[in-house]
Amino acid sequence: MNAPSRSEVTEKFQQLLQEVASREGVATWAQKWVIADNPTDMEKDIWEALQFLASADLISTDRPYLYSAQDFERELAKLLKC
Amino acid sequence: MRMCWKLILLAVWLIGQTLGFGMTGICHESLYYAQPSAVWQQILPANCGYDALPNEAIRGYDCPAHPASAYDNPINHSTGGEKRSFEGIRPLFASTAEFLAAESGASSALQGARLSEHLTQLEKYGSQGFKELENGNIRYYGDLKAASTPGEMSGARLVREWNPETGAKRTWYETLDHSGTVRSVRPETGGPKVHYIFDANGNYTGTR
Repeated sequence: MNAPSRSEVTEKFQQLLQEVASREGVATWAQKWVIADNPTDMEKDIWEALQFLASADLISTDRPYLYSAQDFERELAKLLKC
Repeated sequence: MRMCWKLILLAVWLIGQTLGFGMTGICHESLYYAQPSAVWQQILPANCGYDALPNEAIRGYDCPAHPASAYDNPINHSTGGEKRSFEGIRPLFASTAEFLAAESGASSALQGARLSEHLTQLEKYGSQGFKELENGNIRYYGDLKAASTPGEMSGARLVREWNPETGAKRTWYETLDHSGTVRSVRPETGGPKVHYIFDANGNYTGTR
């Protein structure tokens, strides 16, 4: 399985922020790399971004989702800074 | 007559084992996790292999025979909810070679392969360290990603567990509250996503 490009991962963050993609869809997209038995080689920041995206649809006990748009912006900024 | 005594001793031993006074008798470990284990066997799919996860996590902490289990979960179920930190998570590379080399009967090639696999898992999933479980599995902990929205939960982290014997791996997200208690576990299987929810005392409350 090939690693996603930086632009692909960036686009997923932007889709989340613009609410043109569902959290569940983005999380499932990222999940396949996160759960792979043999993790694909990729740059560390892209790997960390995928780990976060796979958790985008985690729920919380006192609100529908654990993470907010502010969290997506923070993680996207980390990715773009590299 | 001698045979009769042997039969009596065997019967006494069997009764002792049945009542839980065997090798672990003094620490009552089985009493601590017998019920939670049964609960998890009911709520988790039988074929998903996650039964050992909560079972491991809620083992008795003050069991003198297993002091290493004191870091398995931030909640001490045996004393009614005392919070424990994850001080048992090992720093990166601590005793890795010793642990993997200690596998008796394993060839050097196999040990090398295991060490390589361990380092790969550590690099990818163990940014916050790893710990060796009593069953021989190794569990790797990722960074806690904080949630910016104020609320009951502080954030979530990715956890992976690897069985060096079989090569099997499993991955899940844990959501933690501000006291460091794991409040939900979501296995990442590639199938339906199920959150197993716990209250602040670590009691299982249901799925979402």
